[in-house]
Amino acid sequence: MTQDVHARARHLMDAARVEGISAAEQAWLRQHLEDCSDCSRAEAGTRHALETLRWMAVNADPGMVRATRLQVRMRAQELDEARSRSLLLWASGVLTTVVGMVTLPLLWSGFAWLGEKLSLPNGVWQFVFVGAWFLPAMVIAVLLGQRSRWARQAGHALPPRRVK
Amino acid sequence: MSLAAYYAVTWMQDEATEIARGLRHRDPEVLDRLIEQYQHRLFRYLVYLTGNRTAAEDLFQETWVRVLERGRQYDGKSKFETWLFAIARHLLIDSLRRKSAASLDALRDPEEGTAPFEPAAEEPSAYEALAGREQEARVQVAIAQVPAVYREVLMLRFQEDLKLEEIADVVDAPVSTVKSRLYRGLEAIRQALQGGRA
Repeated sequence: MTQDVHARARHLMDAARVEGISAAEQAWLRQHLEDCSDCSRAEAGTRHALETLRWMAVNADPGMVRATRLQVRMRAQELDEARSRSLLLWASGVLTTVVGMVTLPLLWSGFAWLGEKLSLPNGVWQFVFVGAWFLPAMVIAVLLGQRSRWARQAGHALPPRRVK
Repeated sequence: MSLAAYYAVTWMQDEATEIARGLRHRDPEVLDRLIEQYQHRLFRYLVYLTGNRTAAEDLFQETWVRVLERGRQYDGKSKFETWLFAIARHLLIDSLRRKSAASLDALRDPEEGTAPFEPAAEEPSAYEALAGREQEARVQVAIAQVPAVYREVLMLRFQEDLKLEEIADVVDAPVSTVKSRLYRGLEAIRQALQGGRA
C-alpha cells in the first residue's frame, strides 16, 4: 500500500467527523480500515480521545456558581437603580423643556418689561433672558454627562471585583 | 423534515425567544435558570480554553455579568450557547490583552504566521488534575498538547456538538477557517496520541 492511500484514509477519517463523506468514501474507508491495522489503530485512538473529551467531567464548583448568581443579582440591582435615576433625570428634562416652551412668551414679556424699567439696552436683557432660559437644560445636560461617566467607570471597575 | 424534528426546532426557537425576552428585561429568574442550565458547559469551555481553573472561574463570573449587561443584544435567532461562548471568548481575549498586551492575532492559527494562543498555566494543568484513570489521563495529556486555537474548535464540535456555522459565530471566523482548524486539531490529537504511545 502506498503512503497516498494511508494519507487519504486519514483525511477521510477526519472529513467524516468534520463535514461528512459520501457513501462511496465511507465504503472505501471501511474496507481500508479492515485491511490496515495502523490506520485502524489511529482511528480507534482518535475516536477514543474524542469520546473521552465528550464525557470528561469538568464541573463548576457550586460555591463559585452561588457567588456568580449573587454577583449577577447585585449587578442587576445596580443597573435597575441606575435606570430609575436615568429615567427620573430624563423626565425632569422633558418637563423642564415643556414648561420652558409654555412660559417662553410670558418670560420674554417679563424680561422686556424689566429691561425697559431698568433702562437696559435691548441686547443686554435679551442676553440675560437667553442665559436664564437655557440654564435648566444646561444643568441637566451636565448631570446626564456626569452620570454617563460614572456608569462607564462603574463598568470598567467591575471585572476585578470577584465575589467569593 | 419529520414531525419530531419540526417540533424540536420549534421548541428550541421558542426557548431562545423566551431567553431573549428574559434577558431584555433583565429578569433575575431567567438569569438564574440560565446559570443553572449552562454552568458546567460554560465552565468546561473556559477551563479547556484557558488551561487554568482559577482563570476559568474569574471568566465564568465575568461572563454572566456581561450576559446581564448585554442581554438586549441577544435576539433569540441563534442558539443561546453560541452567544454565551462568544461572550466568554471575547472576555478571555480582553483579559489577555490587559495582562500581556496580547491581541486578537494571538488566536490565529500557528500556520498563519503568529504564535498560537496558549495562555501560560500558573498551576498544574487542569487536564492533569482531572485525570482519574490512566487511559483517560493519557487522552487528557494528548488533548492538552493540542494548541488552544485547535482545541477550542474540537471542544465546540465534539463536546458541545455545535454546527460548523455556530462554531464560526463563536470564534468569529469563516466556516472554512473552522474546518481547517478542526482538521489540524484532529491531526494534532492523533500525533499527540502516537507520541504518548511511543
